[in-house]
Amino acid sequence: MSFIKRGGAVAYLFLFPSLVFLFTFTLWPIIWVVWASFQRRVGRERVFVGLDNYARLFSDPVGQRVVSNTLIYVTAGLIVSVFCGLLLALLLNQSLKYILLMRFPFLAPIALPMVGAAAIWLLLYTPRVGLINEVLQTVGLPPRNWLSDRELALPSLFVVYVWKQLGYFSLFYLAALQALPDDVMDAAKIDGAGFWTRLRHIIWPLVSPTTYFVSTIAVLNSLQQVDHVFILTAGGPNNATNMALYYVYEQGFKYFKTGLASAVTVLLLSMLLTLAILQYIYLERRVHYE
Amino acid sequence: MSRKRDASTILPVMLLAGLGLLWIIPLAWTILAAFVPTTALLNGTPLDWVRSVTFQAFDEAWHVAPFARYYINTIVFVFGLLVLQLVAISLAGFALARIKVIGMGFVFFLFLTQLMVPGSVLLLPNYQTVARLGWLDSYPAMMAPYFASAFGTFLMRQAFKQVPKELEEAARMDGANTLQILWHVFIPVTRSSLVAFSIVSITYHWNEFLWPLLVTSTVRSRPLTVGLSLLTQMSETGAQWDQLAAGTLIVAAPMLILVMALQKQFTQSFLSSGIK
Repeated sequence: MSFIKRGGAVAYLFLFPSLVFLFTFTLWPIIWVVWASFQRRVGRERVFVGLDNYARLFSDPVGQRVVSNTLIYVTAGLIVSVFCGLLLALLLNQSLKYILLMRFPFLAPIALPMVGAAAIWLLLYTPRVGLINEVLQTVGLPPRNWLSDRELALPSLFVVYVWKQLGYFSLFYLAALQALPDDVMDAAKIDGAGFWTRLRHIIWPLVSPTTYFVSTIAVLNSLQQVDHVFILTAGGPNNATNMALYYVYEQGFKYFKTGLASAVTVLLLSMLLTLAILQYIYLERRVHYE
Repeated sequence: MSRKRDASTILPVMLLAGLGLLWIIPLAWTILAAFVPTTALLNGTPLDWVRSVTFQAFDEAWHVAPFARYYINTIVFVFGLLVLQLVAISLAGFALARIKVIGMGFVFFLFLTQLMVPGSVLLLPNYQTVARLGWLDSYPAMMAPYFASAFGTFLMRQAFKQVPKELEEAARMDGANTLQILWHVFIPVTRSSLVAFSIVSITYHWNEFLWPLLVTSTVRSRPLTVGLSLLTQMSETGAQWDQLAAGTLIVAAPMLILVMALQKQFTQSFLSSGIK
């Protein structure tokens, strides 16, 4: 008993630095932000306003725009990460002489900062001198304002995100494909007739744990990655590219609306919590059946 | 590969090559824009491009923005943080893997919470905390939310669990204390996990933007990514876009070299980062 006690003291000594910082920068902030989401600043005072911040968010046109932008972006991100991620992994899984070289174009963007990726795409999207408009004009098509057109701005940002992150998601599928037994591997070869049937009935069910996992990190990723919004559009034009985390920044740090920013943060947190619960349920079930 | 290539096997190769080409264009264009003067790039032929290659844009970018200082700031932030993280995750991972105590339920809950909630979501309260501590515009402000790492702790816990008990007992017989056992027995055999964690941590924080943007305000602590964002604002007109391209490469070069040199290791580390 005394040994366990002594071990206990040592364990807590070892855990101490991590626990202090976990408490200060993870647990306490969560409590703080939930509390702040029920308050509003009136003059110098903070007043309890119940769910008013949440009501405002959903009744305000900008708030609605932010919610729908976020949902569109996250859903599109999920679909592309899973389907294009798997298809790219199948292509990257070929046994070719220069396969490492062929993988480089998809790996390099993962290692870039999102800010750098955004700067790179600024060079492509810029109205007069950008590469994309140059190419369009060469083939006789009219140039477009990729980043200042209300319809095009969000898809343009999404392209940057996919360019940067697709390789990351297909890495997980690639690992899953390479772990398949040899006779199944033949089914994963992209050749001959019946490829789509084999993909649907053999490969897709076998990689389903990876699909589940990729879905989770795809949602997390698309919610968090907003650096390119800062560089390319600053949420504009007219909030067409304003998304949850950018909105938190804008309301919290530009307009000092702490209550509103906290309410959005709480919504983000509850999405993350739901995701974690779903993942837990899924893992439990798999353990149960195996 | 004994089978002769026919039309149906050549198709996926062509698809991959085509897609790869499309994917590399943005990066290739940036490199061109950095080395070839804008007028030559837009009006000249590829032969003109080769003839007019110059380092001028790099020279200008280096002087327009204090990139040397930004480099120092990023390096201190990234590697200072890494050292602190490695100490914290080794100690915590060891405690969770090897020592049985009462009250571990709450400890696990605390770690799991961080695994679920990425630091960037808690911008607002963490900014308040850092401001109240008087840390704004300093390295500690940038590091603080990441000092404890649940991902790293669980990675090390997993690695430490696989170390045979006999090794630990033998060291204890020799009179080593717990800290000495951790340092001399456990750390050397779990080096690959520490390397995997380091690669993920370095890439993540080298590229980080939003949190440093909020807590830095002068060249004293501002990292490369924030410096680059200031450069993009300066060249919004497209006037100095060769400088912007050069600046982007200055910021991204170390990471690009890291991927090229350590492609396999890099891939493995990123896969392990997924096992959260």
